[in-house]
Amino acid sequence: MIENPTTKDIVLKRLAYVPVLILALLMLAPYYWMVIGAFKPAEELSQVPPTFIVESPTLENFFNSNAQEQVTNEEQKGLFQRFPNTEGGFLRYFFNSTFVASSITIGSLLVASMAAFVLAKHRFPGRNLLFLFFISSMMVPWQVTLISGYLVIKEIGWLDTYTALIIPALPRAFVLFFLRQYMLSLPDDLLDAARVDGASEFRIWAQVVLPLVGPALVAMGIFVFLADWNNLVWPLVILQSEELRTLPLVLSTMVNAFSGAASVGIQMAAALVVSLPTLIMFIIFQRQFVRGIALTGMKG
Amino acid sequence: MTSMTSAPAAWSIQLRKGLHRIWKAQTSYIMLLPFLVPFMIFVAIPIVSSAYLSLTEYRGVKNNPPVYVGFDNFTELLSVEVKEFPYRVDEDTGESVYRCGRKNIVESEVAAYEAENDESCERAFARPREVLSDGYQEVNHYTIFGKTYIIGARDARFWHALQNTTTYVIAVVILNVIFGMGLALALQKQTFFNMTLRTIFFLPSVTSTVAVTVVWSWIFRGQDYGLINAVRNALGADSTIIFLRNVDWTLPVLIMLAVWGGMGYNMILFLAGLQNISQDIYEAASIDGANTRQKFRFITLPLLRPTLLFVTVTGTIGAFQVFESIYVLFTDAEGVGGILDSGLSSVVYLYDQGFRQFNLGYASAIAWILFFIIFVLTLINLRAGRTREEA
Repeated sequence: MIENPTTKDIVLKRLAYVPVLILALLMLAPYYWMVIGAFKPAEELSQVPPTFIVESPTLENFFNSNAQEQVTNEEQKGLFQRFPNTEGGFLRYFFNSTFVASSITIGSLLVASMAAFVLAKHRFPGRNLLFLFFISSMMVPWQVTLISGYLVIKEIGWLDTYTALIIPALPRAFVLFFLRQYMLSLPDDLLDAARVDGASEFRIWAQVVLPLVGPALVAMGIFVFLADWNNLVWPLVILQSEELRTLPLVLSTMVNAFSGAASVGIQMAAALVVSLPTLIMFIIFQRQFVRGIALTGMKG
Repeated sequence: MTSMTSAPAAWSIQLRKGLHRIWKAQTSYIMLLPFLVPFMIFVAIPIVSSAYLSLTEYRGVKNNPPVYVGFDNFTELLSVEVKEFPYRVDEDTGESVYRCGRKNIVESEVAAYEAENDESCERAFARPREVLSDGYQEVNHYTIFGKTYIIGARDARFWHALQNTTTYVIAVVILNVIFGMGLALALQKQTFFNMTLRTIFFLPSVTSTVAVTVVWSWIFRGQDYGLINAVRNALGADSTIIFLRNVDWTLPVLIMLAVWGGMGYNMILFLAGLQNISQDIYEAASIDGANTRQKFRFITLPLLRPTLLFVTVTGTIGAFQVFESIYVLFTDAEGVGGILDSGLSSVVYLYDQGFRQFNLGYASAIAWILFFIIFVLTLINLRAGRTREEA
């Protein structure tokens, strides 16, 4: 920097932070409100004016030990005591989401990386045509295949199954595209050396290529997991039975914006449980997250 | 096998060579299969069959296969007309009619009525049904240069949804670009403080839309314990606003949610764009005596153009497909789009037609129209970006 900052400049710079800080507070406000809402008892939730610090913190929104089993009034039960028609209750939904999102993440990375390896490093008739075929599907927005995709699932007889949530989500053109671009830069000599040593193409993919594209796999894995953990539309269309429901689906059915304050505590508790895993994941993988976005511009 | 005596034709050699190459590449094909097979079944076939479905009437009932109806769905969806919207005239006397609250009063009696009831009256328009062709319903009416026009459509809900979506997209994209770029510029320096703020702004991008919408629905509660109403009360407002049941608030609430959730994401993209601008250019400009504003106008903005373009294109596509927040806030047993469809978006309408009313053919037609709109918008955006770059 050439010019010396004057006091006026510094003051101006500090002042420019004021709107940013206000905005940051607005960013955090819903999170704060969610967390304190989850730990407020029902009476405090409907208090006017509302309390900004929890006065009598409680866990009853998660588990209310005072609620009697025979009480049919659901209002009294905590989040983990509700959903009597599902074995395991809310925990089961948590498992569903974890299982489905993890399966899709691992599955789609395996499937796409293998195809990407072939499309990047093998020469065979139809290679470019196939690649073009795959990536041209990226232009088509998801709602085009929503109805016909549902009908295909219905035709196969997969309606209301985990399979219907997982398998159709595996072939992702974007993941394929991204991994192929990444793999193009791998040196051919390395692969040839492995071939001379007698390694099969599958082994080369699994033991040479995959370790080398680790950062790309992590970036894509994060996005796929995030997208599917938060996916509402597809489970909404595919699922009927209560015990298969994923978290966003359960949460969306718990909201009735016009129900009383008593149910708000449960909703906040549920929202907290649903958003925590991805937030924790974000804190751990923060650098990869940000780099991944800058690299791909893809939204989870 | 060709016999030794007759020379094989050139095409036959070609074919055999080709087949041989394919045979040799069998490992490649086998390794493609795990991607290719589900891709064909769940992506390629649905795209094609969706195109066919859009030309049929199909209610998803067993033993009632789709019936081919040509372009009927598209005609139904796309039939719009614009007509001049005349004022209403009393059938008996030929006098103009005024609307006072819920009553219709003829011109000669308006002054007396206004004085008596302390109400102001407006000139009433004709009944939409009398103005529009058969089968058309009013979408909206606008006054331009003193003349009022009425827009009617065969499927007024679809056009209403498009209108809502357009407003939403324009507002969200513009606000997110402004906030995203502003934040990127403000938090450009990599200090610990700035990095913390960046993290905060990025949080909504990694939080489930459904979860945050649930929280917002509590914040916007119409009762006094809703956060916003509580703050308004504290500031001296004497009535609560029932945000989620108020036609005028539906879109603003949805837009606010999208801007809250999207600005941090754009910020990251703009930060990446800013990083690519070399500091040398700024220093050179400083030597030439450029001030901060000039540097922004003549260096930062032009060099951020690719990012700006990218953010606009992807932001438009994303905003056009808004679904989750509307579903969580406004969809209940009665309807999908909130009060008087004030929050009905195109994709929510598609969902309504497809999965609540089971007009699967019709819904597919909606999907293709949306695809077409998104496609054209993308082309326009790209074209606009290119011409600006050339200029």
